[in-house]
Amino acid sequence: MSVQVKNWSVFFEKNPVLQNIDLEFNGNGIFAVIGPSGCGKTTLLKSINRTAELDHGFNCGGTILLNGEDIYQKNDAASIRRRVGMVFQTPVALPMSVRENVLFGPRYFGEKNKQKLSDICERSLKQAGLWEEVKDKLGQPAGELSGGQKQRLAIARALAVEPEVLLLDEPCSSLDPASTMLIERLLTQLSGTLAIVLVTHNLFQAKRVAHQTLLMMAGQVVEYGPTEQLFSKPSRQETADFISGLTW
Amino acid sequence: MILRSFLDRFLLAVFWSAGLVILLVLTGIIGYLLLRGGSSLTLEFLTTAPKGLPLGTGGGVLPAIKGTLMLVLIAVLAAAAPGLITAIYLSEYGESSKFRALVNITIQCMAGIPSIVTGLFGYAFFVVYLGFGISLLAGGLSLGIMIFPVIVLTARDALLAVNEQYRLAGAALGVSRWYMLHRVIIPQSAPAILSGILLAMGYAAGATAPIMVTAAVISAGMSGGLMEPVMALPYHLYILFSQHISMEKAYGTALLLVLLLLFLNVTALLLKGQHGKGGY
Ligand SMILES: Nc1ncnc2c1ncn2[C@@H]1O[C@H](COP(=O)(O)OP(=O)(O)OP(=O)(O)O)[C@@H](O)[C@H]1O
Ligand SMILES: [Mg+2]
Repeated sequence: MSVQVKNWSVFFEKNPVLQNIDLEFNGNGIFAVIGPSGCGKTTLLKSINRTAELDHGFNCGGTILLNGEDIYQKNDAASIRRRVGMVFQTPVALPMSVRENVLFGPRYFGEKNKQKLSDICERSLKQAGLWEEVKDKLGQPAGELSGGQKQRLAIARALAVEPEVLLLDEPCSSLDPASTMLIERLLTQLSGTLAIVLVTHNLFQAKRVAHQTLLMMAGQVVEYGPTEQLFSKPSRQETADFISGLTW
Repeated sequence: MILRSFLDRFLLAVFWSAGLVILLVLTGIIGYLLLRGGSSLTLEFLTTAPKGLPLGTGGGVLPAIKGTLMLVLIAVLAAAAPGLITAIYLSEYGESSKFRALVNITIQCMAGIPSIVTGLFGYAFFVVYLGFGISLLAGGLSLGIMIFPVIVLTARDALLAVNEQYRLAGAALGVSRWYMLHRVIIPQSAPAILSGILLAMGYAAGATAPIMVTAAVISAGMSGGLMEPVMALPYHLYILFSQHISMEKAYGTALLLVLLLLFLNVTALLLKGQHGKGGY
């Protein structure tokens, strides 16, 4: 799997939010995006699955390629969104049962076979590390789950439609340390078979799980490289300042 | 500190007494109606047609009950579906389009039209132009026009009140808006939408002006034909009262009408209270 972002800019009305972003993720693994609040991390993430354009006043320039295919060329945003899953900062449990949450996408995409649906449900929940906790209450309202469970349910719901890339926008920011650890372990496991882009405010989290890290500031790329290198031998002064806590 | 806590208490007292006044007014009205009309609100009153000379001095209001129910039914049948479709358009589609802004303003303006003007329009359009005559159909449709904006606005707000995160989560999965609507947004907002429809029905049941010139007469048979004039509770009340036919019966009719509206409104409130419950 490769994601190439070329000369990508986003404006809301006339305000530039992202400016000439160039970057490339190749293969599976976890790619962390860090940067100060308001620098455009969420906008970058939402550009990759074409949900940014849902916001009022969105304008863009440049190209984003998914396995070499220009995702903004076709008018079909839905098929891109299906291939690029996204999990948000606040855990979202749809107002229905745990099972129906997971099967929300597959049912829409036409899966009717009961056995297959039940397989998808089990596989996705296992991948999301939630199966053991919910296997006896699949029919219960998802709203009754804890915050950490809801976030893993959101991951399971995204995985159920078998995306090629999974985007996560500060998935742990509303969770306690134990749930955070659980999700980090889960992401590490998933990264063997999936390309994951993780926006995080927690530099330690980026350090712990990410193979590559991207630092953004004010809508531009500051530095991008292997996590190890970015944190130990940053090549730009801004990066050094940011990771030592001077600029955030 | 002391001053601040005094201010808080003072404001609390103000708000509390405002609530109390409203409660007193409502119980006062109902109490007074009970006192004046309670005795005439008998089973016979509910199940017989008006009698006597002038008509209405005796008997009951059965045809008026039937007429009002039929008028409200036609109004709701005519206004609910277009109202819901408009509300869905306003809340879910046509973001930031000029046309949507225009529709929003139009609906607001429609909501502000005095009901007697709606009645005049109904008269000109349904009664005269379409040739329906003074009839159940013309009155029901006029009431439908009157409650249409109420249904649109309450349904729109009910839809907009559904957690925006659901929409985003759905979009991020690549499902269509319609799928999101019928599996999440509409079920979530259904109690509030229904509650709005009930309120609109209450509004239609109590309205006199739009039917005065399009549908209602002092005396009508109970054939219930769409093209026949009908009797209706608020109009009956108006005639009994304004022509001094029978104060006792007028108060009985008023009491009945208020109880009907109270029933509709309380059901609407209960429905709305359910919103967001149910464990999800
Ligand atoms: N829908 C929008 N309309 C207008 N401006 C927007 C919109 N979304 C984001 N912006 C602006 O774009 C900039 C980047 O926003 P974005 O949400 O991408 O930042 P972020 O890096 O994710 O911040 P945070 O770390 O606080 O989540 C901000 O200045 C924000 O005000
Ligand atoms: Mg953000």
